[in-house]
Amino acid sequence: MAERGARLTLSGVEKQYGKVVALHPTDLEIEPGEFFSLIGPSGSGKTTLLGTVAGFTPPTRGRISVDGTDVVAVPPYKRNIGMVFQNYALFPHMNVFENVAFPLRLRKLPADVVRERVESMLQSVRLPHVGNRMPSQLSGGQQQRIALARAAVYGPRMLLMDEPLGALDKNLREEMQLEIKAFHGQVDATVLYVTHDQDEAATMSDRLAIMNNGRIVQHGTPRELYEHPRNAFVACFLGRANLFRPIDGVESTAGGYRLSVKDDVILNAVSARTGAFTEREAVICVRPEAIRLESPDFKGDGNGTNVLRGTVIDAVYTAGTLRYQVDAGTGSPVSVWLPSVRQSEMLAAGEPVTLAWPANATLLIPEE
Amino acid sequence: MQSHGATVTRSPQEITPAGEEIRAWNASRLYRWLLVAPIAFIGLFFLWPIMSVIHRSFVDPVPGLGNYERVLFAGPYLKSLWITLQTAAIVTVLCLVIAYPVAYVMARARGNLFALMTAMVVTSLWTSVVIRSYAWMVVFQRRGVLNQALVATGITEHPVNFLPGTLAVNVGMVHIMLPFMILPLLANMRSIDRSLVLAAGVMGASPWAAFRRVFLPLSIPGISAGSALVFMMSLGFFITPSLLGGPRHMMAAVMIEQQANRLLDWGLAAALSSVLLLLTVSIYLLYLRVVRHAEGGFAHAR
Ligand SMILES: Nc1ncnc2c1ncn2[C@@H]1O[C@H](COP(=O)(O)OP(=O)(O)OP(=O)(O)O)[C@@H](O)[C@H]1O
Ligand SMILES: [Mg+2]
Repeated sequence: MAERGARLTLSGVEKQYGKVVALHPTDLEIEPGEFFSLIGPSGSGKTTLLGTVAGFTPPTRGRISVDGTDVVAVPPYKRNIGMVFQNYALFPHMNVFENVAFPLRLRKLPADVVRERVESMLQSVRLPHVGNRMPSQLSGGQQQRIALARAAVYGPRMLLMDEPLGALDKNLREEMQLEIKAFHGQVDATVLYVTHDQDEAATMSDRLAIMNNGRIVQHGTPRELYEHPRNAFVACFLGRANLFRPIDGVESTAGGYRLSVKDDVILNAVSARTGAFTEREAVICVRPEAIRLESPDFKGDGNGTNVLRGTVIDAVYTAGTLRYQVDAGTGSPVSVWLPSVRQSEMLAAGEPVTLAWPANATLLIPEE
Repeated sequence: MQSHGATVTRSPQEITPAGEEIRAWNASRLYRWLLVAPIAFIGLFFLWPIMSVIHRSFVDPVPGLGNYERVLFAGPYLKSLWITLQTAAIVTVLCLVIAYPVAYVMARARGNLFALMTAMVVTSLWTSVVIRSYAWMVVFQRRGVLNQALVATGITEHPVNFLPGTLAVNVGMVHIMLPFMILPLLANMRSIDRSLVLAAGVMGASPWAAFRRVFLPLSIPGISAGSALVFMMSLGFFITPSLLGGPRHMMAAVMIEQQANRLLDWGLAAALSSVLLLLTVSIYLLYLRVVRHAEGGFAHAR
């Protein structure tokens, strides 16, 4: 394990199509051997960013370097990068063996080396016996594995994957996530992975970047992004977030901020940002699993715990979790997720509840 | 599956008492009746004339193989068949060479540009072949624009006699056959997934290698369909060779027309027609075999 893959550095990479800016100037550094994901809504520029690295989308401006060498002027076929496409892009006129052998044949390797490498690659994607089949005779998951084998067979130090599991059903997708992860452990390559499934990104990645409107909004480990979203977009994109908008000014206190979200309801909040907030640009984000239920006479515990009273409007049980929608008169309903083992019975719609959560789970973040 | 007792559906046979065969309503039975009219039409206006031509080739003017003996061993008939094959082959190859890049570019075009390009190809089909052949006569005449240009630029000292001649026939036929090559190629190329070519590039294929190893093999169905169409249409082509060809470039269809209409030798015309038909059918069968073989892998891939 001397080499762990390539270091990828993007500086000021920008892509415009006429007047449309598909990618605003972007800086990004991906460490050797890292599994890095790009997530974001449709049209946010994920494929564009990937294309600039692969080489088929020439950037309008900026530098892209792989292990310190600028590759912007290098055509795709000389970059030695591996890529898995969403639609697999297996060649329909070649059998599986020839598909995987294709990059090796281009590199004019001797026949016995080709055979050996293709076979060991098919082995590592756990499909050793399908060499003679045509791609169309394989299932979606199998085709995906062949595409993976083909992208990695020539030992590229950088592997790009553009929504490789987008076409698979949920169960198969989860199975393939683990498989790709294991595969990443076997090959020494840095992986840049695109998906718009946040669970997938969180499961697989060392770090991830959230994109919106052609920009990277925030990047970091899945936990950092979930627990310290930079703004409301990130908070809502990763997992479920309850957002509250302050109705008056935001008041700075010793340990954080105080603001009111409803007449007579003052919440204590913390923020990664220091300095003043105006109520127009700030929102409060509370994760549904941070909220607990309290007895009706609960008034707070003096540690800044926030209390909110409301009525259950919807209750659903899903695999170990009770999910309530509570109307607390703060705009949209508040989601509350509770582990069902700690709740003996389920509340019905119409019942009054008292919600409570700690101040440090109350994040004051900018709207934008 | 079986465990979901309530949702298992049974076919009607299982429910009816044993021994009682049910005649379920069947769409294909209806379709069979719908076929009667077209079959009658084809039989009456297509097969029957062909049969009577073949019949006539054996009995007119006297029963026997006399007409075929003449086709094979006497006169210019065999040579004319050979010229026909040669011309069809040349026209097919030229059409392919010209049409392939055109279709390649068209297949990449989108929106208005694509509509415009398609319109340009298709409108040429709306102009009568006779008119287009006459147009080439104007070009190739002794005092035509081509000769004027050749003399004016000093490439030749005197006007060249292009008419009647092989060059004129080939050029005229290529012009007329071109859409029949472009359209099948276009249909095929538009169905080729361009991301395959991109993928080949990322894996290390230069643009030329990606074309040769990925795009070209995937366009073979288009190449073979277009070539077969143009080749077989060229074999029986009449108007252009008859206007531009003359006695030195006598194609089979022109020869048949002469025998039948001018020399009133119906037996010989029928024999020639039958040989041409046999030739076309054999080439078509050969084509089918080749295509099936070449698409062995594709058959599953589609
Ligand atoms: N060839 C092109 N010409 C013009 N605009 C383009 C082109 N390719 C992409 N765009 C635009 O660039 C923006 C980013 O597109 P991109 O394909 O990178 O999005 P994406 O994040 O991959 O979305 P998805 O999740 O739908 O794949 C979009 O607004 C898109 O319309
Ligand atoms: Mg995309």
